[in-house]
Order: sequence, then structure tokens, then C-alpha cells
Amino acid sequence: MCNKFEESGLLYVSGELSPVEAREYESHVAVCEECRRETEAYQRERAELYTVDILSERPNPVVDAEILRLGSAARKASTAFMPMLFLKKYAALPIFIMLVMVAVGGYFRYHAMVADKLVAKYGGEATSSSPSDSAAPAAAYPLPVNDEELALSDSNKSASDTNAPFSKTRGNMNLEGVVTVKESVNEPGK
Amino acid sequence: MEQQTQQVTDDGQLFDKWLGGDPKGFSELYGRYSGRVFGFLLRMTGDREVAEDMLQETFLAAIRNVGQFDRSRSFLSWLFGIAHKRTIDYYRHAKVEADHVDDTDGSVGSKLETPEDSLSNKRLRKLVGEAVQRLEPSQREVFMLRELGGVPFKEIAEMMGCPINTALGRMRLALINMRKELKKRGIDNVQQI
Repeated sequence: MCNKFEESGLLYVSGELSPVEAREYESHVAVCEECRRETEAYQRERAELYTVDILSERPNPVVDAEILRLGSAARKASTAFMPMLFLKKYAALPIFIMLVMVAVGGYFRYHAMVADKLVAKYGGEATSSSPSDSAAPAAAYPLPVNDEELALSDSNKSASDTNAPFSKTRGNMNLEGVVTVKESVNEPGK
Repeated sequence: MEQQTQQVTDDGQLFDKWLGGDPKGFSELYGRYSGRVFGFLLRMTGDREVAEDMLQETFLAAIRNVGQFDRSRSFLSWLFGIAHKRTIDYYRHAKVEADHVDDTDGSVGSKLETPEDSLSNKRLRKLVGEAVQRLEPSQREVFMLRELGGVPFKEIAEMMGCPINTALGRMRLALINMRKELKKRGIDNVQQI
């Protein structure tokens, strides 16, 4: 019994052999009666019995209609949500950056508010980074521009300036840092 | 072969239409292949209602996994791969194989008939259907995947988790047994139909 039909004949009839392999099988069939008969019988059966018309079946039309409805609805749904898919895919990074910026901004804002409260509580006047807020004190108390003026200013302050809004020794806290910040902010407006 | 390549190309165009949101793409693919897939499921289960449920599951799975379709493969082979998995689940979970063989004895024709068939075609379908139903399940599986699904033997072997020689051996046995069963039903060779 020859096994060549099982090894190659089935693949030959199905068109799954390479051209070289197909020629080899044709050469074999030319000399092997058993394989020739098997090959011809299978080719005939495929053409007349094992066809799509004979082997396929139709389901109930209601089932057909339901599957078609689901298939169309599924694609419509997925295309309708395309913008959402785009956002999910491409907008994640910008949204993340925005959230980080809001968080950082909130952090600094919070600390500015805390500083304002501390100044209000211990210094009597709130510090502000706004030029308009600081314009009046800057005009009322012009800052020294060089070392000589600074020395003169210090001696004057210690002797007579009791109306100054900030005192480095007032209260329990050292407000030197707050004053320094205020001066550096007021400098350009001078 | 050239016709098969053309068919694959057309399938690809329909597939693109479907992906693009055009329902005609899906309906044309469904119209083209649902009969084959349903024929496979019906022969594998022997029960029309179960096969209809599985047909729906097969196409829904195709819809869900549409992104996994490999364009280098045939759409029909891919679809049959999904349907084949459904039949494996069916046999594994329901354990109906023994009952199914008993149930199909002598009553397959009445289950598979469709009213629109012409008389000769109806007779032939009935006889071939009965013969297919008498095949041992692994032989029937290879036979239907190859003849109705056009799935290449290499892919059939992958689907069934066996070497290609095993798939070829099952196919040869299926052909031999089909001839025996058809002979019992009066079809000695195809010229006598």
C-alpha cells in the first residue's frame, strides 16, 4: 500500500504543494496506479459531492437578521466613540502635565497664603508679590540704594522710626526673610 | 489559486468597509460565509438550535476580536478558526458527544433539511449530510474544515494541536469512510448520482 497520496496527494489536490513538489507528485502518479485512482476519485468527489452548495446550510432567517443587526450596531458604536478613543490615546500626556502644573501652582499659592496669614498675625501687614499692593509702602519708605544710605537708614530707624510697618524684632517671629522678600519686590518700582 | 487570492483581496476590501463603519461590509462578509460556518457548526453539533447559537457566538467573537485578524491569512480560515474553538468548548463543557452520536442515528436528514432546496439537491445534501455525520468527530472536523472552510492542512494541524501528518491521516480516513457511508446509501461513485 502506497502512502504517497496521504503524504502529498491530499496537499496536491488542495493546491498546497509548491510547484516543484507538485511536479514530483505528478511524476509519481504517472507510475503509481493506486495513487492515480485515489487522486482522481478525490478530485471528482470534491467537484461533485463536497461542494459549498451541498455542505453549507442556512440558519433561521431570524438568526441571520439578529447577527446582522448586532454586527452593524457594533461597528456604528465603535466608530461613534472614535473621538473618545483618540482622546484616550493621545490626550493622556497633556492632561497629566496640566494636572502637575495645577498641583505645583496650588502648592505655591498655599504657601503664599500661609505667609500672608503669618504676617497678618505677627507683622500687622500682609506681604504681597503684587506690585500694586506694594506700591504705597515703597513710596512711603524709600529703600536705600547703596551701603552709605543703608548705614544711615539703619541708624535713623533704630533711633526714631517707630511707625515703620515692619520691625525685625517685633513679635515672636523673625520676619527678616519676609522683609527681604518685600524689599526685593519693591526694588523695581522705586 | 488565483481565484482564491482574488477572493482574499475582495474579503480585505469588505473588511475595510466594515472597519470604516459601513454596515454593508459586514453584511456582505456575513452573506458570503455564514452558510459555510453554519454548515460546519451544524455537522459538528448535529443540533440546529445549538449551531445557531454558536453561529451567533462565532460572529460576535469575530466582531470583538476584529483587530486580531491577520491580513495575510484568509478571512474564512480565521472565521473557521473561531467557529472551531466554539465546537471544542461545546464538546468540552457539555460532554454531549456520546449523546450526539446516538441522537443523530437515522434522524439527521429531518434536522438539516431546508425547504427551499430543489429535490435532487435536497436528496444529495441529505445523503452527504448523513455520511458526514457518521464520521468519527476528529475525522469530521478535518473534513469539514478542509472542504467547507478551505482551511489549509497546515492551519488545520495548528488548530487541532497535532502534526500535519496526523491531520492528513485523519483526512484520508474521512474520505475512505465517506465512500463507505455513501455506498451504503446507494452512491457507489459520483457518476451514479
